[in-house]
Amino acid sequence: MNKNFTKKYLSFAALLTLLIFFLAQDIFSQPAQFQKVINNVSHYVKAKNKSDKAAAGEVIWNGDKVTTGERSFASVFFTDDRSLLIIRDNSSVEIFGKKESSGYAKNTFVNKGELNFKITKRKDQDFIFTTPTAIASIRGTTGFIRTLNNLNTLIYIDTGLVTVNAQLGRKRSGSIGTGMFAMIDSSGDVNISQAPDSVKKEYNSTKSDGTRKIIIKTNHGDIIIEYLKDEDKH
Amino acid sequence: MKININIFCIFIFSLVTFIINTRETFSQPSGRVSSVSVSEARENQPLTVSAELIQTSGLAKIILAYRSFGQSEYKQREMILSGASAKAIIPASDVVQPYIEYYLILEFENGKMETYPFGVPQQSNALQVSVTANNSIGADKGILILSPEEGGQIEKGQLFVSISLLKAPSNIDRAASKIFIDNADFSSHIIITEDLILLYPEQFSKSIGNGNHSLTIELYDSSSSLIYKRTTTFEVIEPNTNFPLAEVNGVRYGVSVQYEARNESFDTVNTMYNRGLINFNASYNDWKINGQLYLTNEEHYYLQPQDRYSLSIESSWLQLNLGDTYPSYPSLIMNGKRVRGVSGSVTLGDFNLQTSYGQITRSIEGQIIQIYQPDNAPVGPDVIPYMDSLRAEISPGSYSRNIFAIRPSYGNGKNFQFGVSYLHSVDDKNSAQFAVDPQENVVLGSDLMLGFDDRNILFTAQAALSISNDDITTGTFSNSQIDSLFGPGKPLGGSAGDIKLLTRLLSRFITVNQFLKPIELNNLSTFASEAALDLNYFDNNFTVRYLYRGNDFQSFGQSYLQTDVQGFNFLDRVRFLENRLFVTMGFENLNDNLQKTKFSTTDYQTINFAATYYPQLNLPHFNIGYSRYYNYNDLSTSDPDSVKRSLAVNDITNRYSAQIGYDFNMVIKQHADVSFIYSKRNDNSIYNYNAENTSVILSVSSEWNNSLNTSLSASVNQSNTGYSVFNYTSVTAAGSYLLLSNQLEMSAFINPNFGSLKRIVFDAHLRYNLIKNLSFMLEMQYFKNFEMIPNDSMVSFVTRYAI
Repeated sequence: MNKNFTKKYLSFAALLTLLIFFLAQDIFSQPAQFQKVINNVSHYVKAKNKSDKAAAGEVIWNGDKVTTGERSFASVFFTDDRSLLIIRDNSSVEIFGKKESSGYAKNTFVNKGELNFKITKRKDQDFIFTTPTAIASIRGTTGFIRTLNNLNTLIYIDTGLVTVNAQLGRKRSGSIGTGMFAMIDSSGDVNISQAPDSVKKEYNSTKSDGTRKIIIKTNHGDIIIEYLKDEDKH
Repeated sequence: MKININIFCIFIFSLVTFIINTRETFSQPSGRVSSVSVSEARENQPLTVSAELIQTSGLAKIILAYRSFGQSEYKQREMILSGASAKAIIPASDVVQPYIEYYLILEFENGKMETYPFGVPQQSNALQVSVTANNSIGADKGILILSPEEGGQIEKGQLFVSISLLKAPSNIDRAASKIFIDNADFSSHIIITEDLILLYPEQFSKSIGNGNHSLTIELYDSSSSLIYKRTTTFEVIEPNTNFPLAEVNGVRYGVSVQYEARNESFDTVNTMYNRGLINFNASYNDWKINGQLYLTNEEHYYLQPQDRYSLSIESSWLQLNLGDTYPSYPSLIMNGKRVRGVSGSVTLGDFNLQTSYGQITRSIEGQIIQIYQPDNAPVGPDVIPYMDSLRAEISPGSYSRNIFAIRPSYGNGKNFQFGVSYLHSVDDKNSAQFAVDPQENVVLGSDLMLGFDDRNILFTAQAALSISNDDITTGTFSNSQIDSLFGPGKPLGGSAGDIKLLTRLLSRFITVNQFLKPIELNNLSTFASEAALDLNYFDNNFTVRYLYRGNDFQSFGQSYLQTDVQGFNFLDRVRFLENRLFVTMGFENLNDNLQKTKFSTTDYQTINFAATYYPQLNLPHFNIGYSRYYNYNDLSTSDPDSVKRSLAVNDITNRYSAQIGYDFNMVIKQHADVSFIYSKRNDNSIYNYNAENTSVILSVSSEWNNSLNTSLSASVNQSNTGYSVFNYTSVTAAGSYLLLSNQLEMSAFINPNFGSLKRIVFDAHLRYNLIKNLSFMLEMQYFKNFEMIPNDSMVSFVTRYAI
């Protein structure tokens, strides 16, 4: 075999291996995992370019998308610090996690819908939520985030402090404290005020899975049907 | 054929070891207590002790007495009585490895008392429960158990194990990782991905049934050394389909109603009991409401309350309890006392406020035994003035006693908290005509907790000062009374002005008269304090404690505190062999006579040693222990003063214990225990209360399948006090079986006793769920007695309906 060819081939293979290795740092990151899944939850695996029905315990890879259907629900925890997201029905969320020495640098794209979050406090990293109109930087906080049909974003903070930046228009920013909520609109304004009871009530409703179950006993075993109750829908 | 051989082996094994009941249940002969069970005893986690009662008539209360390893004092806690069962919780801080000793004190309405087991602590051994050590290795290695959550509940079908190694050391040999569930090895099923170790439910859902389970994870480095080990627990539950079933306008609620009809026939006396219980719970957003109403025909105006009712409202910042509550304050102030009234707490970040107000004793009217003319009336505490000029000897009742407590505190309790407590309790002297010595009590206390280095250094302390008045009948001194008693040339001397000033100040808090304690402030007789330092370094858990309780210290919120005692104890537990071997050593030195009110000071010295070994899984574990209790004072048994002779103390008790437990699979899942306790007391006082006790218990429990469980046990107990010999052997065979798709549960046991105690107990229990919300229970017990003692029986029928 030609020595030059072999040398070139090996060099190419080495480069390719290095490239795959560096790419794999992100592609094969496993930032999150499904904790609980109810009804129709779709898991799009970016690396496979394929969607499948999600299941409890399934690993979420970097860049994967979770989509919940009507009366459906998924809870997801992050594998580096057990931060928790509860993705409500009719939502679409992309989860990114770039591996760093102290854990994952996390970014969750809320394309549509609503999610409740309980983010573990860490010294050196913020948890980023991105919506079509806002970026929220979070460090140890509980609350919920919702994108509205007009692309406005509503963020409520039950405990902690969040910095929020509008992505569009005037690109205003602000800090949301405990018991406050912010509305970020497409013109780039950030309106922060004390949360009314209706928002707090909504926050409480997003914490629980709000599910109902029916067990049908058959000769071949029990069939369990689990669904979100109507009152929790928005 | 192989199965038959295995079954034969099981039979032989059972015969050889004579065995059982379940590992947490203890059955000792008693006319009142059917059995005592404890929850799983894990270090630094609360431990629940439950007692099932055979006969409840005439029973006033049951007290749980327990002591942690390394301590000589039995702490006491009143058990919550509910129908034919009683329950108490040992606080997490007292659940210390390797074991806890405990027994029950039964107090009857006629003032008599007995213990379970009979004769504890002098004439027989207390019960003992092994405490499982927290034998974690490498807790700081950045390994995170993501699922299941420690101590959490998980629905069947949602179970999976996930361990994150993202921040774990790079030298972990991931392929060598091991996962055990209930000691069964699932390591061959685990999936190892980039940063996760996973075990999926479909691989073991058939063998992980509902109930509590343990999960053990072991990780090894490249040289096959164990560098991480952690055991946690979780509970698998049925998918929640029946609670809450009802919902109106966002309010979820559930209600259950239970009725029990029970007939007991003991000593040829028939007693009928009717008991009703209603439980109610509801939630709305973050708010929860729980209610309970318990009514029984044992409720009588001449007894302390037997009915119970309570309503609690709670949210993330508020806790409000109405009715019968059991508020928990620092142990010198109030803990475990039933208060009928209102109790609550508010948590506002670092600032917290807790308060309680209500009645702890109901007024019960006494009775006149005889009326006398003043001239021929006897003298005594139970003889009171009656109708102006007469005297009456009475059987005294009790006054209504109210209590108020408040404790503001600062700090969230994780690394710092400082609290101040105030308690005031007083008898309503108008609440009963024929009762004596109404009393009043004020306690002021403070408590502090400091934690450093992730609580590896933990300092806790509390102190309290009490002021009590033993008779407030005459009220606070008037100025004219002070002038007549105090001052130069008066009976009590001193300065009348100073006394008036003191009276004016103190009387805002408590009645001031000649019955006030303390009489002197400088001898700390009503002062109590405790301090403890815990250090957790270099595989050592070291604790040193100091306590001081003056002989007049008293809190009406804490009835079971030993007073007139001071001293220290230390306890060190060292971990060896990668947390498989634990060696614990303790020493305690206490003494009484703090205010020099006795002829002599008695010292109480205790030495403890124990070793516990947890070998590799699937092998037996064992623990051995030795304790020496030495009590003495400098009085002589040959002292010419007969009183001093009678108070001389000089006794030594040596106690040895050994226990082997083994979880194993022999065709089916089984657990075997063998325990041995021997104690000998040499009493050199004039009473010669020598005692020698031996207990051997052998047991094995078998889980044949999800429907059938059996157990066999045998115990041999020998007690010789020098004055009496009480030897008996007890054998118990028990089984439970589920059928009709678990709708019907049948269980039964037979318990023959031989020797000094001759009795056979038969027990049968049926539970039938007619429909999902409606169930019936039938329980029957029959006691076959010998030697001319009439047989006894009990039948109970319970109906329960839930929505």
